[in-house]
Amino acid sequence: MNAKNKTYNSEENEMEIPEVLKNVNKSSLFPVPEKYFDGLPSKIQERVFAKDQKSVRMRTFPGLVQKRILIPVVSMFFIVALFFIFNRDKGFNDEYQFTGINLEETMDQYPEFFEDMDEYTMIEVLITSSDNMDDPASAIWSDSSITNQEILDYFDEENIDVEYLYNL
Amino acid sequence: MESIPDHKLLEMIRGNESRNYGFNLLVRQYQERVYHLIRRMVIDHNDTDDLVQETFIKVWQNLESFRSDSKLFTWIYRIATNEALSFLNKKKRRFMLPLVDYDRVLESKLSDGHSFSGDEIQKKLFKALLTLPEKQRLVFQMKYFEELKYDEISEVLGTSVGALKASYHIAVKKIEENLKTD
Repeated sequence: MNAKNKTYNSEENEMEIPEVLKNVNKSSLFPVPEKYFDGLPSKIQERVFAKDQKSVRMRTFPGLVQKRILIPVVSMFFIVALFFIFNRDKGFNDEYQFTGINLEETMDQYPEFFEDMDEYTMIEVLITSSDNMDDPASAIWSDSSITNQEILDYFDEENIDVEYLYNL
Repeated sequence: MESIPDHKLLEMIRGNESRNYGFNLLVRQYQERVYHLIRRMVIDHNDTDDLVQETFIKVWQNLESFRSDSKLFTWIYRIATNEALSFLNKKKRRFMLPLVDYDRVLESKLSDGHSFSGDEIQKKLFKALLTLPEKQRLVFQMKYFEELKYDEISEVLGTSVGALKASYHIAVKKIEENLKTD
C-alpha cells in the first residue's frame, strides 16, 4: 500500500484535524434569536397544515374550477361572445355589399326581361361580379370572352332594348 | 430533550391520532442540527429559517416514501443539503447579471455583526470555507463541525467514501493554506 492510500484509509486520519484548526471553538458561531427553536415546530406545523388544506381543496375542486384556469376560460368566453355580437350586423352588410344586385328583386321588377331567356343568367353573373355597381352594364362590355358585336347581335335578335340594361 | 428512537417517531407519525404529535417531536429532535447545517452554508438567519421550514415540510410530505433502511437523520440531512445547495445556486444565478459574486455577499454577512458572532479565527475559518466549492464545503462541515462518519456523509451526499475522504483532505489543505497566508 503506498503512502497516499495509507493516508486516506487509516481510521485515525479520518479524524485528523490540522493544528491550525485545533484552537477553533466549534460552537455558538451564529447567533440565533431567543426562543427561536421553541416556536419553530408550531410554525412548521402551521405551514404543513395550510399546505394540506390547500391540497385537499385542490383535490375537491377539479382543475377547471381553479382560479388560474377559470379566469382565462371565462375571459375567453366573453371575448368570443363580444366578437360575435359586434360582427353580426357587419356580416349582413358585407353579404349585401358582395351580392350587389338582388336577383329576385330584379326578376320581380322586370319579369318580361327574364322570361325564357337563359342567357340572362350569364348577364346576371357578369353584373353581380362587376366591381362597378353604379354601372352594371359596363361589366358586360368589359368581359373579354364576349365581343361587343356578339352582345349587340344577341340583343337585336331577341328584341332587347340596350338602353333597358343601362336602366338596371 | 431526551432523544426518541427513529422507529418510535415513525410509528407515531404513521398512526392516525398521533401523527401531528409525532411530527412535532421529530421537528424538535432534529431542528437544531438541521438549522446549524443550513446556517453554516447560507450564513443569514432569515434564509436559514425559510430553508429549515421548507426542509421539514418536505420531510412531512415524503415521510410515506421513507424506507427505514437508512437513518432518519441522514435522510433529513439529504433534504436539507439539497435545499441549501439549490438556494445557493439560485442566488448565484440571480447575482450573475450585475456581476456580483454571491460568495462576497456571504463574506460580507460574516462581518456585519448580525449574522456571525464568532471570534477572529472563526471568522477567518469561515472566510476560507467560502472559497471552497459548495459540495466540498459541505463535506468539510459535516466532518469537522458535525463529526459525522464518512459512511453517514456518503448516505447524505450520495458520494463514495473514498471520494469523500479525498474531498475532505483537499478541503483541509486549502483551509490550512488560506489561514496561514492571512
